[in-house]
Amino acid sequence: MQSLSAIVKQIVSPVGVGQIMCTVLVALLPGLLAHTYFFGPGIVINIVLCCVASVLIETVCIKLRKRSVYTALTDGTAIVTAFLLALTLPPLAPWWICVLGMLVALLPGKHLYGGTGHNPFNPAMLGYAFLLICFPLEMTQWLNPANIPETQQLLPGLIDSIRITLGSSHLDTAHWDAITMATPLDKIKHAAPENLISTVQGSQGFIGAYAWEWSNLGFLLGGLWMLWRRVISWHIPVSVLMVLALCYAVSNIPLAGSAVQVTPLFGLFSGAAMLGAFFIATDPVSAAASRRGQLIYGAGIGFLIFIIREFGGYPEGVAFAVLLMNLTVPTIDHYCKVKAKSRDKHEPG
Amino acid sequence: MKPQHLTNRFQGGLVVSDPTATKVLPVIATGLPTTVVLPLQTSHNSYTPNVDSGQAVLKGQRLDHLTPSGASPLLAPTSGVIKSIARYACSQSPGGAVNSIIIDVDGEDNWHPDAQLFHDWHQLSRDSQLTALQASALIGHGGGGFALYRKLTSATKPIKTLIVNAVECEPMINCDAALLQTAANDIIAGAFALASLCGADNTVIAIENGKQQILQSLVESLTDNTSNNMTLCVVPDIYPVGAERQLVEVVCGVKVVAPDIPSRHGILCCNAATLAAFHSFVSTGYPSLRRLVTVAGSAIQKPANFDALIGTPIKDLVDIAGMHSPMTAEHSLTVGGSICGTGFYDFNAPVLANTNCILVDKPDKNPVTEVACIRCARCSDVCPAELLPQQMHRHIQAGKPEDAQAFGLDACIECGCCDQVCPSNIPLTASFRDSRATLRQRHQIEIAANESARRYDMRQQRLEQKTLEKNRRLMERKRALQKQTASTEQSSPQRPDADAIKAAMMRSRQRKKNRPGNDSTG
Repeated sequence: MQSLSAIVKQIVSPVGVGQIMCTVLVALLPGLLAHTYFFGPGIVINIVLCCVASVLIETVCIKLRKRSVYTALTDGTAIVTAFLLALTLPPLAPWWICVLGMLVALLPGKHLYGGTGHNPFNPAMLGYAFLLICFPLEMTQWLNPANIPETQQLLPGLIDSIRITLGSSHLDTAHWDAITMATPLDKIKHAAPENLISTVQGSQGFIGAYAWEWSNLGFLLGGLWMLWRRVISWHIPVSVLMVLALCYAVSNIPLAGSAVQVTPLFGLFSGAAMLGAFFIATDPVSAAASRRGQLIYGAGIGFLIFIIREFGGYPEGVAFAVLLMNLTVPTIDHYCKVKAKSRDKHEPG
Repeated sequence: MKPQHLTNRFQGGLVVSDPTATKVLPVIATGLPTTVVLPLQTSHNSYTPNVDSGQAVLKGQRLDHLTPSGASPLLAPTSGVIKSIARYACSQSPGGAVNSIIIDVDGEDNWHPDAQLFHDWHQLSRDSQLTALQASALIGHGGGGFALYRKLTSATKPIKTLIVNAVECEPMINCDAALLQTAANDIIAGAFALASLCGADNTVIAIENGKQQILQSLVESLTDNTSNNMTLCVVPDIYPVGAERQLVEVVCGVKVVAPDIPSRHGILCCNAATLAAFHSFVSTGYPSLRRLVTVAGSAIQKPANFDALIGTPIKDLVDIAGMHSPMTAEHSLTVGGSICGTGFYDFNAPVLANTNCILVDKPDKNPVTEVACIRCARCSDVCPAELLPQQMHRHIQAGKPEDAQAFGLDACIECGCCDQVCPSNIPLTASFRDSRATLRQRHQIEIAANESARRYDMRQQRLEQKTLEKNRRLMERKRALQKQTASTEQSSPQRPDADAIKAAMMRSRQRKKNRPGNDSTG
């Protein structure tokens, strides 16, 4: 006779924390490929560096906490954190940026709170916010995306990228034109009002900001796959994206006073919107627990992303929006106690 | 009769593929065990024994003192001699052992002269029918273990619908299926008798989708018993559709959330086996003291349904069923179904009225390790009681089960769905069960403490009253004495016998004078 728990377990897949995290990693691949296509192999180097740092830091922390290293590493949460942080870093960020970011993400972000399942903040976003505040120069050196007809520009190859990352070679700004180029969102924000329309048009791809729209599409694809695999529920991504689009739509009304004419679609397919909505905001540990609470939580994130993008000093607001909403989770959970009530379905009320 | 297929659903639940669903295990009758164990504390009843060790008891004899609350009595399942009253293994106690009456069975199986409660059920008035039902100690065979009498009397609305719960949605449990196949007529007769007792207008027999054999036997039995107010419903095969509240929701469309109960909505839901037992009681007048128990699991050689006496040690049944390899401590024992059953360790524990299934499994080769909760909320998605298990778990882990109550811990039906979907392998249901037991215990201690505080206060009051009374009486007596003295002093200021003394002294003096030897001075 077949073991019963095995039969029952088959009905829900994936079954363990490790499998869930593996699904998340697989879901990241389309976006990652698009990212690599437009910004070169630097992102892959970031991922490798972050993963190595993550495994080392995790092992040391678990040893110090006298827990099972095997269990901690096989749950895959540290690797997912590494991937998410690496994806938010500029492709040619120095190696120590990766290591420092992982240190902040895992030490104060995770283990000081008691490890997996106990962190109130999204570890990757904590690491990112720390880096952005402390090293603004290194963190905003984005490459001009390649492989689009307008720029006709070559990206640094793998070897060059490794050299730059490790600091043995400096960026040859003459060779790689506009290496410290601002992201489209940044450009729009700082454009002079008279150039605004041309700036927006110049940044426009098919639906979003050029190049970025493809990585956003990739992350959307991965996110939809996670939804289908039931790794995440629709509540958080839908509320994040709906509210973000709604904010852009409202800001497009001329009476609203905002001069920036960014369409909702441009807003959704620029920056880290899709990565944030499907992969970062949905981190279950730091998100609200009840489905109703998740809608509130997601709406808050969407709104804050818009506020920070439009009025804040940073070009992208996903990290701060997520961290700020993480703070509100205990309150949301407190007020979202679901309690079923007896009712007769045939009678109204 | 044409079965009615229902498609209503309830929130949450699991679709479980059960390989044993279509198979009905054989029924094996068991003789008398050598020992019978009756726990004095079960989930809903606690008894104070009125017998002592060494005393001979007869079958059907009442073994506990009458309790005023109208709880169900404890009856001896067979005749024998009480060996001892001591702590013994019990699958329904969180600590694993409770005080129990242990009877050495004499094998005679003699009924107590008072055991037969009536000769003709139909000649009894409704009140005496209810009294007889209470005295028969008939406890629901489904799993909850509520006394049928209490279920009937807890209704605040007249019962309109009687649901016969013939749904056995949990994998491995097979006893109701076997009963439906072998004794469908008894169940239907029991349902008729109960419907007329509680005044239900219509009776619904519910079985789950996919059990063709049982459906067939029911359809055949129902054609024989022509009745127009009995319907046969086939409900979706979603675990736990056989749980009382979920079945009521699917059949009647009424959602009942604990602590609310279906009988307050005019619905009575009874397990099929309970009705068969009710029928046997109604037709003979003797309480029903046996039940069918499924014994299965990966370590069992011949899985079967045993017709066992209540109180039979589990070990006896497992011995009859046989095991593939000798029993070791690593073998896991589960009492109840494969999903919501409780893991247990002592094979000496007895079969109770609501023990439907005993599973013995081989040692688990790769046991799962529990890791931290990642709050994925799968548990709340499958929870049929619409709770947030991970939030309750968080509060329980923080040592505050009373905070978990704010999240509806009391409404948990302990179905085990959350355990099945948890990616972190957290035994959520077990922790909820334990916390509820802890809270119940705490509550009982509180009640007991309040009761003793009240008793102490009463005693103090009584003592005070007594002292006051005593003082008052003393004072009264003192006053009375004083009064008396005062009145005598008033009437004769001298002592009452002063004259007598004086007279005596005179007489004495006279005698001295008249003495001849003393006449010298004269």
